[in-house]
Formats: sequence, structure tokens, C-alpha cells
Amino acid sequence: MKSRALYHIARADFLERVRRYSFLVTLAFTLYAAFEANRGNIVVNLGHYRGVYNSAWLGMLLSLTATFLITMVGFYVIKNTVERDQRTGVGQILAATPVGRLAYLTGKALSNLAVVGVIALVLLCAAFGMQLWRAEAAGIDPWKLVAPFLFLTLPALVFLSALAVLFECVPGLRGGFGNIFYFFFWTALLAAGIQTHIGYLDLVGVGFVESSAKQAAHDLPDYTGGFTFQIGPHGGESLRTFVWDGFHWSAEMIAARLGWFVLAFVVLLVAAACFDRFDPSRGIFRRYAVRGRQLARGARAGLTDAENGNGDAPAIAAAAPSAMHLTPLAAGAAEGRFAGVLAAELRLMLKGRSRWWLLVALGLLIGSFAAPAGEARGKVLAFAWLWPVLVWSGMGTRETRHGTAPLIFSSAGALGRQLPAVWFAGALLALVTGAGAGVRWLASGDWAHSLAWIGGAMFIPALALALGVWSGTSKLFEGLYTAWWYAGPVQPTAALDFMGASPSLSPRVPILYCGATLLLLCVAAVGRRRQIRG
Amino acid sequence: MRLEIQNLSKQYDGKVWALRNFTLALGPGVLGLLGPNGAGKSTLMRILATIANPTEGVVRWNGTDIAQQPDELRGVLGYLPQDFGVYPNLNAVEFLEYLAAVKGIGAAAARRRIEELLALVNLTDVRKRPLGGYSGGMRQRVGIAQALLNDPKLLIVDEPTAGLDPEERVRFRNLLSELSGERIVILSTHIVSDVEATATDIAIVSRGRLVTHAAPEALLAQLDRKVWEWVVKSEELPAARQRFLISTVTRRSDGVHARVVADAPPGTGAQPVPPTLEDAYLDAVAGERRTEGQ
Ligand SMILES: Nc1ncnc2c1ncn2[C@@H]1O[C@H](COP(=O)(O)OP(=O)(O)OP(=O)(O)O)[C@@H](O)[C@H]1O
Ligand SMILES: [Mg+2]
Repeated sequence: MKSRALYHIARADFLERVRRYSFLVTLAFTLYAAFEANRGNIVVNLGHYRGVYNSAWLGMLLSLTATFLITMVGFYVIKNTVERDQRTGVGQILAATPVGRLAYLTGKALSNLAVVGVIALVLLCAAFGMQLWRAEAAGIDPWKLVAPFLFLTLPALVFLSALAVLFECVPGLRGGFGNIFYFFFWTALLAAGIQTHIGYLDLVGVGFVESSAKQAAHDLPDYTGGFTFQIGPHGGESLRTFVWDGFHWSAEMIAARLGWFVLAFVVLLVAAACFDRFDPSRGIFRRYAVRGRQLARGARAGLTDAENGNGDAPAIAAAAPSAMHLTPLAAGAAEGRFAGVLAAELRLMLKGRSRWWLLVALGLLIGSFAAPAGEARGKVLAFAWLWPVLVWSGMGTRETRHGTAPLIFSSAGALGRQLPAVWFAGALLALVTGAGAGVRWLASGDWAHSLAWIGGAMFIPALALALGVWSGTSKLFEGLYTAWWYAGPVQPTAALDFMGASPSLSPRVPILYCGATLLLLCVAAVGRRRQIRG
Repeated sequence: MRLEIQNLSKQYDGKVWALRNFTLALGPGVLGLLGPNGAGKSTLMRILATIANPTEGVVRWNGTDIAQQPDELRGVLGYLPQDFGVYPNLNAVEFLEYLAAVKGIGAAAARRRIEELLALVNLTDVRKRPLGGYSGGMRQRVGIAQALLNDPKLLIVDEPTAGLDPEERVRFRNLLSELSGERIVILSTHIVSDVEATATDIAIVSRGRLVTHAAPEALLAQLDRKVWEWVVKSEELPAARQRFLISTVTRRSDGVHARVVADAPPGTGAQPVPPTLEDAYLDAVAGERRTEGQ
């Protein structure tokens, strides 16, 4: 009985998801990753060596790719299942059924697992296909292809599925902050796995691959002990190959992997304890969930106020028609007023930011002004432009998210006035929050950095807007921007540095980002046009 | 001021025809759109509000095709969707100010207009509270207010009275009658009395087709001497339902008083009674079903 409910919760949720357009996009990305792996752009190297593409090596390579990518990006793909029930109102219906919290959330986690499982399955098939295509080793060994997926990928996905549900149940982690936080959590886990060599900490399993492969490569001539897992084009050096015959699964390794199952269960229990069952006045965080509560209890609050006599509204309800008076709008009042929309969008954007938020933004502004030229200034600017990420990430998605789309898209200025105003407001926010560094660069005549700074201020909101309009969710921008921010300005990697945080700078890069801005704005406009025309 | 709908068809996902060959021409006045669930009322209104494209056919606003030049209409359009959301952290004034800006209304004009509209929909007392804390009916009234922001020439309201309490409904009806002067109002509803009170024209839609378009008086005239009050025994009622279109039944001590819509008296003792719009609506929809069935 209970398992049936569980199954159907998972099933309905899974079907609802895979029938969405966004799932196709996810699959397309997965296939693209497989394609890149086949081109040799996703590799595991041991110094100048790589394994011959036999079943063992490909199973390992693609399982590692799957685990790595899914734990990084897949989290954002699946972290919306409880939210969807909340938004569609289905949650209210479910909450009125006898299904328990743990059962409900387990069902949701299973649905999560099914979604990421499909992605992993695609990559497993890719491993099989690659062995045939590359034809470096004959003899397909199904077990060696599948085993890494079973022991490395599956436990990570199970844990991830539960974790995504937990994030949705804890008020602070539910929104954009959770999305940013997860990226750093994931980075920390990855680093822990690689650096500590403690199997129980190694979610992605890089450590297992490393030690296993290193052992096998130990006796190769001129092997000096390197190990890299690389995604993206590599130097083009030709690698020597060696034959790796797969993992030797020890009880210890398997125990470490099984640990994630246990942890997943614990995470689900915690999630169930935090879950408010769509009634924000019930969760254990109820005292902190002020905003959510306003939503759900609105109806009651409205009534009691009137009943208490705070509002004498009902008494004068059916006022005589003569009391109705509307000043006619002056002719021409509806002329294009860009400034008005811009001000309104700015207000909407900053609405609900706390004083603390502003204070930190101000601190970063002053910090970037005070920081000495060079690396320090770039770094402070990077943080000043990470801070407003949740403000930018709402761009282009607010209309869908709050259901105001039919109101806004049916007004005259939706495309020509409101959309540009949204972008402009985002750019203004960037210019203001990053003004400290910008003013210094401009004043010192550092044109390369000034250009990069202006380019960045235009690029960030354009990216947010395009992603928001097309994906309808703020998560995509939150995840992508944070990762990009980390890889580009923070590292810094010159080509990915969209804001000029690197001390030395070629003017080619900012010009490239200005071009990208234009392109993204067109993409956003096309997407919005499509939304408007239904 | 003229709205012409010509041969409009809309197909969803290449399967369901929500509208079929829908033709209608409108001048100033209030058009009440009646029809069963799924008839295509909202679909029609979404197309008229320029947020959905028809599969076939054109809509002309004062001669311009709204699919080609939607902004012409959007500037003078007020639209209240059947389903819509609000920004939960804004209060009513802020939300309306926002939409006013989007609609291109200047700040000063908007401010006065918003105060008046809030008074009109009776939300003045709660205007500073976040919309997230509004009840369903209060939110609906914010929707009504926003539809009137730009003094629309074409006002499209999709089930505007859904969720309103009886007093607010009366208020809204009065408002509609007040507004109707120099504009086209299109109102969809399931509450026949709303239409009765406000509409100058009625269009009945069923399965995506226009069944009738007429003034309420004309609709009633069609049913003159076709509505009967007929007393039947309780046990005969199911059989009677099979044979006749029965709009309402009332149980009294002498048996069941059934209101029957039929060309000839349904049985002995049936008395003709004055028709209501509800009778007319049921008759039209049932007639459409019959012809469709053939
Ligand atoms: N987005 C959609 N996708 C597919 N079919 C749709 C969609 N919207 C409406 N339909 C279909 O189009 C038909 C007309 O729907 P519409 O919403 O216009 O009806 P309605 O007359 O407004 O009904 P109601 O009185 O219930 O509001 C229905 O059969 C419905 O199933
Ligand atoms: Mg409808």
C-alpha cells in the first residue's frame, strides 16, 4: 500500500519532468558530453599515458564523467520537485492525503534518481558505443563497463537525489542561496575526495579512480605519478597508452560507496523533519519562514483583519455606483516612458533585500575602491559581483514564476520597453555595485580594465536575462554564473574572465564579451517574443 | 471602435481544436461570453488579448490585424486572465505602480488612478499589505484593478467574479455597467445572473463554435412559449429527464415542479412560464450537442 503510493509519487513526478522541454535540453547536453568524450576532450591522464579504450577504461571514464557532471549540474536539474508541487497547487492536494512526509519525500527522491539515472544510462550507452567506434580493444566486457556505474555513479546519484530534496525542504537552502551554496559544497566535497584520500568523503569517486589507475601505471617506463581528469580541450600532445584491466573492488571500497546510501537515508530523514507539508506554519523552521507564511496564510489573515474591525471593508462593500469615479487619463499618457519602467523594474529588483544585504554590498563597493590596483582589486570586484547574483537571477523569470506573464505580456511595452528596462536595471545594479573598482580604473586611465568592467556590467545581466527567459527558472543562471565566476575571474582564467579581474588583460577579451552581450540580448528578445506570442 | 473576429480557429498541440471558425463583430457594449467548461472562452480571450496566436483566421481591431500589429491594441487593452499570479512581496500599490509603468502610464497619472482604482475595488484599507497575504478574492480584485489601469478601450475579463463574495460581485457588476460607455467589454462567466445584469450582447460558445450571438431580449424572445412548468411524480422524473431538457426542478407537496424547455407542452397540465437566460443558455448548448451528435 505504502510502496504503491511511493511508486506513484515518483512515477507521476518523473513523467511530468521527462515530458518537459527542458528534459530534452538536458539529454541533448548529455549527448554532447558523450560526443566530446568520444572526440577525446574528456580524458583521464596518467602523466603521458592514458588507458587503451577497453571496456574497463571506458566504463571508468564515462562513469567518472557522469558522476562529476551530474553531481555538479544535475543537482540544479532535479532540485525543483517539491517546488513544482507547491507552485502547481498539487502539493495542497497531496497534503490532504494520508501519505506521510517521509514517504512523499522518498517518492520525490526516487523521481530525482530516475531523472539523473537516465542521464547516467545515456553515458553508459556512450561508453559501449565508444568502444565500438574507437575500436582500440576488441572484446566487450559488460561487467567492466557497468561496474563503475554501479559502484561509483549510483551511490553518488542516490545521495544527490536525497540531498536535492533536503535542499528543497530547508527554507534557507530552498532558494537562490541554496543554489550558490551547493556549488561551493560540491567543490569542497570534490577537493576533500581528492586531497584527503578518505574514501568515505569521496562522493565523485575521483580518489578511487586515481589510486586504482596509479597502481596499474606504477611500473610503466617514465611514469612519474601524475593523474589528471580533464574536461575540455587539452594540449593536443599525443599520449602513450597502456592497458588497464579495471578496478579490483575491495570490501573497503564497496563499504565506502555503500556509506552514501546510508547517508542518503539520513538526509531524507532530516528532510522529512524539516518538511512543512506545504503549510509553512508547520515546519520546524516556521518561525523563520516569515515570507512563505504570508503566502499560505494570506486568506485567513485577510479575513480575520476584517472581522476584527481593522478593516471596515465589507460593510461598505456594495457602494452606490455614484461613488465610482475614475479620472480620465490625459491624452498621450500612455506614451513610451522608458524611465518609468526602468524605475519600476529597479524597485522590483531590489524589493525585499534586507538592510544587511545592502550593507555588505556597500562594504564590497568601498573595498573594491580601496583595494590596491592589481590582483586585489580584481578579487574584491569579483566578490562585489557575486553578491547580487540572486538579484540578477530573477531577471526574465519573474513573470513566469509569479504568474504575472499574462498581465505583462498583454501590455504594449512588453517587448520594446519592459524587457530592455529589465536588462538596463540589471546593468545599473552591476555598475553601482562594482563602481569602486570601475571608478579607480577609469580614473587611472587603465582602459583595458575599464572596458572589461563596463563589458562585465553589461554582460552579466544579459546572460541572466537570456537564461532566465529561455529556461524560465533562476537556477540555471545561479549555477552557471557561480561556476563561471569561479573558473574565470577567481582563478583567474583570462578567456573566462568577463569582468577584468585578472591583473593583466588583453583588450580582445572584453570586446568578445561585449559581442556576447549583444548576442545574448537578441537571444533574450527572441525568447521573450516567443513567450508573448504564446 | 470595432473588433472583428473572422474565422478564428485555434488548435493546441496539433490535436485539440479549442476554437473553430469563430466569427463575430463587436462594437461598444458588454459582451457576455457563456459556454460550458472547455468551450474555448479563455482561448478566445487569450487570442484577443494578443498573448496567443490563432491557428487560422484574423482578428481586426479598428481594421488592423492584431497578430501583425499587436501593440496597436495592447496600448488600449485591459485584460484580466482566468489564472494569474502576483508578486507576493509587493503591496497592492507597488504592484499596480509596476504594471502602470509597464503599460506606459506616467507616474503622476498612475498614482491618482491607482488610488481611485483601489477605492473602486475596495482595497484601500489593505493597500499597504504584501499581496502574498491577500485572500483569493482580494487578489482577484487586484487583477480587476490592473485591467482598468490604462483606461482600456477593449476590456477583456475572464471569469472576473470567480472567488468574489456576493457583495463584491454586485459591486463589480455595477462597475462594469458604469464602465461600458465608450468601450468594448468582453466578459466570460458561468454565473448567468452576472451576464443578465450587465451584458448588452450575449454569445454562447460550445466546443469551440459560436452557437448564438444576440441581445438578451432576442434570446429570451426565441424561447417565448417554449418554457413550461410541469408537475410530475418523483418516480417519473428520470424518464422525463431522458425525454426533455429540464433546467430546474423544485420539490413541493404536490410533486416535482420541473422547468422544461420544449417546443410543445411536455405533458398534460404543463403551463407556459416566462423564459430566463438560464433556460436560453441550456437550450442553446443542448441544441448544439444535438446537431453535433447527428
Ligand atoms: N494550453 C493548452 N494546451 C492544450 N489544450 C488546451 C490548452 N488550453 C486549453 N486547451 C483546450 O482547449 C479547449 C478550450 O479551453 P478553454 O480554456 O478556452 O475553455 P474555457 O471555455 O475557458 O473553459 P472554462 O470555462 O473551464 O474556463 C479545452 O478543450 C481545453 O482542453
Ligand atoms: Mg476559461
